Amino acid sequence: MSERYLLPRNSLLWMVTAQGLAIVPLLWQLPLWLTGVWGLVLFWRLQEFRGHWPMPGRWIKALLVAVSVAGLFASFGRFLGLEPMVAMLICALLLKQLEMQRRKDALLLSYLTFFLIGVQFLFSQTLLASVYGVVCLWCALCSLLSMNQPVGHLYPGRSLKLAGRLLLHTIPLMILLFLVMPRIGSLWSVPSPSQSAKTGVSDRMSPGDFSRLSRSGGVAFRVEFDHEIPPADQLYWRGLVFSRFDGRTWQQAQRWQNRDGPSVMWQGDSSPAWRQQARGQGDTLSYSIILEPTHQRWLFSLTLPVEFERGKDFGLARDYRLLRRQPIHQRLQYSVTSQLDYTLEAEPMPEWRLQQELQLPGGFNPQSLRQARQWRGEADSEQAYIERVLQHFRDRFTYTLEPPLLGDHSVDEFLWQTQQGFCEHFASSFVVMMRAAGIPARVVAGYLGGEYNELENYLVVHQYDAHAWAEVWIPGRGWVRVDPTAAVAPERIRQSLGEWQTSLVEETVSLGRYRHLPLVASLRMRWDAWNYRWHKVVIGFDRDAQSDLLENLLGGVSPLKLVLFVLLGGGAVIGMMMAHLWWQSRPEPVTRAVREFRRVERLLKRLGWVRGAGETPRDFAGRISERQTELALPLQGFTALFERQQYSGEAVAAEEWVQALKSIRRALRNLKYPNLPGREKRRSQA
Amino acid sequence: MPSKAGAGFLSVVVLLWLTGTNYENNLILGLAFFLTALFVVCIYHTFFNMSGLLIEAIKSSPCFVGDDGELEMQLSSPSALKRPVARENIQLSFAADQAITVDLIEHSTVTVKLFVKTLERGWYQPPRLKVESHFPLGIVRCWSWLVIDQPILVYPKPIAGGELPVVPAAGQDGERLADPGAEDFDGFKRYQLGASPRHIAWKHYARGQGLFTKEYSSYREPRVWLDWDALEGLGQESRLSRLCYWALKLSATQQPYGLRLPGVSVAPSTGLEHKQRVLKALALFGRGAGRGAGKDTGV
Repeated sequence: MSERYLLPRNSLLWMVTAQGLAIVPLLWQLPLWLTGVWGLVLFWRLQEFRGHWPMPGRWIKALLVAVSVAGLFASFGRFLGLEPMVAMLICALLLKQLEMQRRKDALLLSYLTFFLIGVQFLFSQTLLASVYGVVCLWCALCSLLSMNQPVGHLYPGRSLKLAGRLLLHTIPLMILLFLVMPRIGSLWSVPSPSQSAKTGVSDRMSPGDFSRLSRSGGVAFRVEFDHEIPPADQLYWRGLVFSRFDGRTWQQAQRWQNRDGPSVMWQGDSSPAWRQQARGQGDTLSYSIILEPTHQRWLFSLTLPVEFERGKDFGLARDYRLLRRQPIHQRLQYSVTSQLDYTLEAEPMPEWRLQQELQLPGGFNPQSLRQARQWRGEADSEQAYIERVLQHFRDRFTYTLEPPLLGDHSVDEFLWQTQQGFCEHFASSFVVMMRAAGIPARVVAGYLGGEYNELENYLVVHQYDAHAWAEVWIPGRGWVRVDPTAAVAPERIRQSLGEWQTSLVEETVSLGRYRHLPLVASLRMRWDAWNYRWHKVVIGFDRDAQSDLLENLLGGVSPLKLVLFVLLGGGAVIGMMMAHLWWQSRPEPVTRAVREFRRVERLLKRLGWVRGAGETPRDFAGRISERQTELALPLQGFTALFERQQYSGEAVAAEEWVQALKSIRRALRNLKYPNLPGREKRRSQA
Repeated sequence: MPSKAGAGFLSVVVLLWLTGTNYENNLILGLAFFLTALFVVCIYHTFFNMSGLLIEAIKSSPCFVGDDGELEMQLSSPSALKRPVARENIQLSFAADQAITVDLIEHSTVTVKLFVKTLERGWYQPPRLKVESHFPLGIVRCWSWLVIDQPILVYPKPIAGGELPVVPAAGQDGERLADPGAEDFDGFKRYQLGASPRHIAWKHYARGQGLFTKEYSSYREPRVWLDWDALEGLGQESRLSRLCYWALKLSATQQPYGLRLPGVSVAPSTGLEHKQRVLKALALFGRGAGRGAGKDTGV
């Protein structure tokens, strides 16, 4: 075995730092015991560095590997999948630390760190994550750089500075590559993050779910409208429709319950019969949504979506909401055109649909059912009945984020006893009351409203904007939206919970919590605007955006133009960098004195006089003068001139140089042709 | 040129690009592009780390055949700026296994000694010097070959053996030299002004014989001529080796010695300079090469 390679101390420090930075954001996604492994490795490394412990022996290493593999299997129960693979990578990286014997190992570790920095972007692509990634990258560059700095430890700040310079030199070229490198699209299917907690509105709704969700914090999505933003009470972002109720929990209708064609119309499929039952009227409203990862498949839109993203992965469900084939693991941008004025399934419903939308579990909430039948009997029309129920809410109920817990007959208890609830209580009990009275109704879950950011002109919809409301089917009019919460707390419709009950929905340590302070408010808006712009410009830069941009830049894309653009752009970028590098290491400008001296050197070389390395002009002249006394005087004169200009900084007239050089020439010629004393004279006469 | 480490680096880039493409993740793609661009940038950084560096051979020290000849090299990076242009991790090597690493960070000039194995007597022209740098990231290698115009004088290998190679001289065995510091009493001499009072023959003066001083002298060893012809029957190199051995031996004593080679002779003398003259004559015997002067070689 070759001698152990000792990584420079500063390099080791950088490496551990870079690795630490790269691992930290991944730890949230991975089992906790990895932190323990990390701590152990760091501790061992420290002890080894201080000379207290040896590097682990073969058996200990084997044991550590076995324990880690067992731990991975115990945590995940499988090895394929993104999280287990990332965890395995981190394990390998950490354990490799204990086995750094050769320079090759150190390099491998350094490269793996680069890869790890990339892996963290799989889990988060926010602006913060990107900035953090740059910091990681800087550190990783330092570690690689300091491996090549044998005396790096003497200049601690130097690696950082040089790495920063490299970073700055590289970024322009990277941007160019980013703009022009073709995006190929997925080559093969890859495992997606699966362990991540699903966020946002879920596909089940039980009492208490939404109030919990409203406190989970964070942004759900951001919307940019092509034209004007509709009023807040129109911003019902529809995500899910619940038709199935088991007494406590609402769920979506089963797929097989649909009997009139496929339950989802994917883009590119032929239009099924049910598609004809939705008709939009009036102005169209186009907007584009950037959805934060939900790890779910549904998308949000305003009813009624008439056109939407062209990709084959997008589809319209039977209940007129948008879907995507794969769960959304990364920020997703999609555009939709909606018509807010619409008629949805106005035609009489078939028997199976009526059954589906009137379904109630047997044996639950008897008091409510009784009351519903009574009120329905008293009311002349559906409309009057709906108004009666809403009146009941309006008279007695309070809207609260902290509703009391409910038992088995949740609707009964809520309607007639506790009378305090959040949107899901109102929506759920309202729909039960409707169904009990024979009016088809369903619960719709999504978000309501949004916060306007004037810096970039878009809406931010937060998790605390999550909302549930009802849709009621009225013969001849179809599905009509009714929001029972509006009856109880009309201010909720106008205002988001974030403004209305800030302290309840925002975390203690967050900008949103202190939004009443003007400075924090503007900072919060600005930060979100940056984040939004970051996504729009960078994360969302896909194949279409690329071809649009190149089209605009080059006025039509052709291979020749592209190649020229790359060559010219790359040449310009590299040229600037080279100019900077050259300027930093530019050689001394050659002065007249040096130029003349070189000329004299060339003359003397013909006679075999060569100046030794490190010999000053004066020494050189002295050495020659000892042997060739004829040259002594002219050389002395020249050296005096040289020293005057070069060292004292006094100016020497061009005339003087010419004279000095001439006298040296004359002396040299006399040496060569001692028999021609009158030569100079004759020449001047001619 | 990408180094071996650079190939590993590029494979990381490919891996990242595949990941970024498959996940359609622009940030990972961006990272892959960053590393690609970094590679390109490194080519220039590595080049500029070496470009403009001035490497000069200042002097060489002689050695014996088979020993390591010593070359003193001066690395400098002339700069128009106040602070020196930093150049880091520059490796100078004649052979792959023994490289010397030089860093110019705070000083603009550094002198290093290089050693090179010599095989033959005479003026030894060192092999081409490889100047190499992997700085900054070790993923790109920039190198250059330098011809060093600073030959090293290589003396014959001293080989012990044989008698002192002298040819008995025809004349007297030695000369008697007057030497005021010597111990053997030689005779009297009439006093001259300035003579040491310790040497005055006070006994003679007391007898009224006048002022005399005592004269001392020593016998010098006979002058030694190390002679080519005394080593009949040996080959040229063996003769030179033996002469070299005795020259070293004799110069360790204070005895004057001379050297006679066919066509070359060095008059007897002592001292370091004389020793070098003798050794040089031995080194260059039969090799009519003149000494070239040190020359600047820029990279």
